[in-house]
Amino acid sequence: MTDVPDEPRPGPEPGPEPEPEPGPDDAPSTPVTPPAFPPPYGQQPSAPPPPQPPYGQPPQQPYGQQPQQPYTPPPYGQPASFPPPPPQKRWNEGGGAVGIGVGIGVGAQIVCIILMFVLAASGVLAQTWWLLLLVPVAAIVMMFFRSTRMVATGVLIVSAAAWLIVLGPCVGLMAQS
Amino acid sequence: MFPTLHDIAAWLPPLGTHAVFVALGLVAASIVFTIEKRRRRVSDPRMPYIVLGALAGAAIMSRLGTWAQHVDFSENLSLADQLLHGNASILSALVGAWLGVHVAKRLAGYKERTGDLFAPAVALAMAIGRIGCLLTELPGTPTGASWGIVLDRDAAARLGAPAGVPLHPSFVYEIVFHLAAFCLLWFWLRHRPIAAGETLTLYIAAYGVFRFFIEFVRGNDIAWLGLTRPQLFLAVTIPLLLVRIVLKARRGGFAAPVATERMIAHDRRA
Repeated sequence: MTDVPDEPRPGPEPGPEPEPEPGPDDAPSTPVTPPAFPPPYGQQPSAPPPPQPPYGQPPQQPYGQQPQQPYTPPPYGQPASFPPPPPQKRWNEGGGAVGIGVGIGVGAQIVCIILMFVLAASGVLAQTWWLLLLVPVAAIVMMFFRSTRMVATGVLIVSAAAWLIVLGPCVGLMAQS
Repeated sequence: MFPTLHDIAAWLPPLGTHAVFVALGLVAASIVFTIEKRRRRVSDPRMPYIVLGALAGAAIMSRLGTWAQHVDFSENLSLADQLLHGNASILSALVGAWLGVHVAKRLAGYKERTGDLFAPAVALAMAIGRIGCLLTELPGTPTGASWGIVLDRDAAARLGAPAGVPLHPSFVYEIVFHLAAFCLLWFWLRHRPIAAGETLTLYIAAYGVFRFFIEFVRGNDIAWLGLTRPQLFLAVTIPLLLVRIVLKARRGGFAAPVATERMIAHDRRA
């Protein structure tokens, strides 16, 4: 038997050079936990945690962030400089002012309705329905001034709600009686 | 019928039943509005002006909308009488609220859409307010169904309805509709990536169509061509609203921008 030489087999393709095995000096400072593979059903494979700095060294600053400067006290005898505090809301600004207006509006509406019934029953005034307009008219005037605008908004919200709920039926009952 | 709470139960105060339920509806609406405002992170200081516009518009138009009922104007109430104790209409109130919001936005220079804040609040307020209507007003037209409401002689005489005959509980139908709409809006639609303000448009359009058919069993006066006044109003406005919805849907205008989708995704993760 003659040995027929096989076709020359292609040699191994030149690939990337194998990385040298890390020696004892190249060992990472902290071992990296490999992600569990395969991950549990329905869960994304977890990324390895970022490497921790060696013991005793400060953590590395993330990219794009400025390192925090340590606090340096001002020279002796000079006041420390602090950033200016954010401007505080005054009592007549924001949602609190609307709440105050709602409270004022509820009280004023109750007083006006009681006054209207009392005056109508005593016969002092023949027409008392105009008393209902006092509160909204006063609030509309307050709307023209910046300092009282939010409070007036609360008063007008109550006036509008009262008109929807109470005043119409009340005045209707008074007119029928 | 129960004009006052005292008629429902002897231990309850003699307050007007209808007014109490409207008040409860407004309180519930304000709570829902506040929750939705916080969820959408709306903290604009001009928001109280928008709320005021809605309430003021509803208060004025709810009675003004039913003013010119008669072609002969001498048969209508004077303007002051109408505003003080004229008939109130929920359809007119909705139109007034819509107009009021737009006027307030123009005055305050507010450009964003706000309908999504109001939609679930309005639906819940309507459901609660209609309980007051159910307890005080004419329920509906006669029906042969077993669920009809039967009035005694006094209530029938006061409401101008036949006594001892089952009547359609039209307000119960409305309460069920608004509760279903609130659930859809609260638990589903507001979490979908839909363009700003369009949940209110869809809710109002659905209510308009529903109300048009409910009017056939409501028992309101027939005004013209066998239709009631609300039906005549809706016959004009519903087609306009539906055309707007169809045109907007064909242009893809109901899809939310990317920012809204991200907010919804963030809410789901949270």
